[in-house]
Amino acid sequence: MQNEAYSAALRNTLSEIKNICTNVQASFLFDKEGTIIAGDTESSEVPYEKTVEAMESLLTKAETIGGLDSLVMNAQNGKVHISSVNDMYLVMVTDQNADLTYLNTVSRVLIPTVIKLLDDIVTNAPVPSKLPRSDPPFAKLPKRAEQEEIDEEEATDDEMEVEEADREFDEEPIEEEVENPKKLTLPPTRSPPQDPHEPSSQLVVDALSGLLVRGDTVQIDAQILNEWSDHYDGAEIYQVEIESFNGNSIVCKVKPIKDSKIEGKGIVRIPERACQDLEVRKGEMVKVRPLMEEE
Amino acid sequence: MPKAQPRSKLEKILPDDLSISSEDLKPEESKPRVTFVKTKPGEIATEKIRAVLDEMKTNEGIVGYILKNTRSATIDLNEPAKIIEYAILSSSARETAKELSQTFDHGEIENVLIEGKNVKLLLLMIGENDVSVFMERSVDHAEICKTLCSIS
Repeated sequence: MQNEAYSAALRNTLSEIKNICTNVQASFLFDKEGTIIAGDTESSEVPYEKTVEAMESLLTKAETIGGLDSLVMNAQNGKVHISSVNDMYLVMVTDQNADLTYLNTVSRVLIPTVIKLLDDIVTNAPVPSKLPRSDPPFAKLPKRAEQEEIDEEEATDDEMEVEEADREFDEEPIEEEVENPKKLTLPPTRSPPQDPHEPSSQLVVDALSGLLVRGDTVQIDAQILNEWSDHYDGAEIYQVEIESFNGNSIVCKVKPIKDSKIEGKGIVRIPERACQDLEVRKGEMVKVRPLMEEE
Repeated sequence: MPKAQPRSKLEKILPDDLSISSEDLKPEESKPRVTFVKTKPGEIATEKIRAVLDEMKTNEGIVGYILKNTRSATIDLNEPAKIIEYAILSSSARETAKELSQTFDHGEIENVLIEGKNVKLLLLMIGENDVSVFMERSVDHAEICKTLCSIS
């Protein structure tokens, strides 16, 4: 949903750039993984994939000169301008008369401004106090102390209430959860580990931001995941519980870190929104432990 | 490059593959000796380009150049450790430019400028010669492009 909003906004921005710079024949944005983010509305027939494929090799080789900042190709019948904007690459195909300096200035101001605005809107969006209408990216767990209080209160509740809750649970259609895989409220078959010998790691927070960052997934070292997996006889780790030192905790999906530069440094990469919920910042320590299905 | 023996008279029949410039046709009193150099088409341009590039390389901010044609390749870079990386980058950039030109039907490529965070690369096609000039970002690439394109 978030990505769709970004994509729509960027598509409109590209169309507006095309309106003010009539020499632009086509324009689109792709990210470092080669995914097309947005293209201007009138460039539906542009061979995006072919262009990205052509660029892939060069983007790797350009590390020699500190990474690609821009590429300008002047040819007999037109120009191609590719520039790095906010971890993405903007491709602009123009005719021969295009003023690339003007175009560059316009695009390098407009696109980052739109992205920053969207970032601000997403970051500052009010969190609903009750259950969210749409699917939350991850389930936020109550603080430890709060959880103990809740547990005590629940223990004193009469049996009727428990029966009602059970009945409500039973009445819920199972298909709903299957159809809605994003819903990450803690399923009844999973629970935080109770065994004191169960593995956990203290890791340093690295905030994940960007257009294509999944809000429900954190990244940690593959080595740590493997160790945990070994501890559970080779079972794959899909979810982790992250607990900050102020007692906030969340449950989210987990994936191994793919960036070799930060691999093996004891870092957990957490989406910005999750950082806000945990009330942690980049560089702070958090406790991460795997969540396994109950036997 | 094999050089033919100097000849004192112009009346002799010249083989087809010998080139002669207008300078060589001046009267003998102003130019006492005429030297014919056995060259192939485009070779003179290559030598001129190399000479210009060598001169350019002495300027501040020029990292080096790669001059390549079907018969030879010259690489002159300030950072010998990066020769292979720069050569690969140059080749890859040329391939990418060709693919982009074909994709968008832009025809013959005139020049390509690739700017990195530290260094920029100017690619030119002068006749049969592929020229790659590596320079710092502060260098005026337009001036270099103009100078090299003026070589005929």
